[in-house]
Amino acid sequence: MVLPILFGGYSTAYAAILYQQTGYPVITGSTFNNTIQATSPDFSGVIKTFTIYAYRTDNTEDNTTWQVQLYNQSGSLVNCLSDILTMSERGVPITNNFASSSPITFIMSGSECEQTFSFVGGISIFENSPEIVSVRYAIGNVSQLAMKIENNFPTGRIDTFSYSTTTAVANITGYWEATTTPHITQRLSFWQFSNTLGRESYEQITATTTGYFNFSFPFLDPYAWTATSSTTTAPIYNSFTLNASLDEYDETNYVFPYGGTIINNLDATSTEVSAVSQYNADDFTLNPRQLALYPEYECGITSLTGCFKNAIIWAFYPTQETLDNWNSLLTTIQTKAPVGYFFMTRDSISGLSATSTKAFNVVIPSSLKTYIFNPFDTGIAAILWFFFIFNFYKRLKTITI
Amino acid sequence: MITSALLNGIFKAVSFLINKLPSITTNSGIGSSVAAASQYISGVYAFIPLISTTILAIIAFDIIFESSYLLYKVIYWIIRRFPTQS
Repeated sequence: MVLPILFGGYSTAYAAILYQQTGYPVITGSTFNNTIQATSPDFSGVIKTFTIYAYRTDNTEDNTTWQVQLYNQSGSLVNCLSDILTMSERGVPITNNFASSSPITFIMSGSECEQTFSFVGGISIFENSPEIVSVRYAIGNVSQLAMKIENNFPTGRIDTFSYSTTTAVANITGYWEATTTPHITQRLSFWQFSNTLGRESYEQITATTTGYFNFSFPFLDPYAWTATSSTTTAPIYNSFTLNASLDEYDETNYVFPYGGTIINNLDATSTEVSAVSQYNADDFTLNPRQLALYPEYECGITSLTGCFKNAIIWAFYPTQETLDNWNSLLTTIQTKAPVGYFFMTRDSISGLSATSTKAFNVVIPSSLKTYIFNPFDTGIAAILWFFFIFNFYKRLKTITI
Repeated sequence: MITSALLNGIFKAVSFLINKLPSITTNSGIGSSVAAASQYISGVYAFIPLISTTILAIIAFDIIFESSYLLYKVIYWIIRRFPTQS
């Protein structure tokens, strides 16, 4: 079983301005679609934010959404999009002059934000509705803007953290740097921690190259019982956490045992591997519950009653094989008609769930739900229970055995 | 020893008879209809949770109770068919 844990994490950004427009283009007409062509240097690294200085002259566009999308040279949409917020949510100021404009930051995300691509394709900035990305319509009151695109170069981060309890391996991907500053290194640490056993499986790797990393670390499954003939994952009996940390170390003064001291935590993540909430004897065995050893009493010249007890136990105590035969008989009966129909019905009904994917959505105001639906819900449910008890009592009176 | 031999004999005899009965096969339509019903119930559960769980619980209890009673009647009817000494 693999559980991918995507972790955004915290990363220290060195903002580099990749493009800054010197003049302020005046957008006239009813179409707000300013395509900017430039031959600026490539967007290297990860585009995290897109900042535009903008203002509007009145609040008629309060609820109009504004999203930034990136296009490539051939005019195709690149999978690097900003969040979708309204003008008022973005804080676009209402003013009469550009000097009072504010930088509006769009947080970019998408799989293609992390590629190196040329800026010559241009960037189209337009307003669109959340549902249709290609519709453009006017923001007549935003007449001037200046654009500054900032690229937050990642200095180190953890992108994904996944683990598998069947292979007992955790996988970590991210980005790190082999810094050129003397005595400064970036290191990725992995460990697991449980309250009973403390820290285990600690490993640390030092960055030797700058770029993306992908490492796997083995860990221990505390108390997990594995049967050689079992084809299913053994349950975890003791919760523990898997931890990963990307730190900057200063090795100026050597500190045992890994050397250096942490001067900056670039990113960290952890996830808990939970134990099963309840487990019983069946979790420890594959076979039907093991019969306890026969109670055996001391048998000797001085304790003859023990001999009689042992004899009676030998004669009348059922063996493990008998219990196994009983279990297999029960299982067989459950698969044969007519008893099998009862168990099939019971199993089918137990599959009913009130919290699965909804076939339809009903949107109601929360005040309506609180003051109308909830009391109605409680009252009708109480009436239903009362009628059920009343009718069940009448039904019991008609049953004949 | 004695108990084990007696029980094993009974189990073997009952297994021999039980295996003569036909096996039931679960229709895949049951699973898909339960899944579809769960989806509709989930939609209703969102705004009237108590009523939907009450109705489900009452229906489930009734089905289980009545099918258990019917099962008991069937088994008792089978047992009464065996000839007894008199």
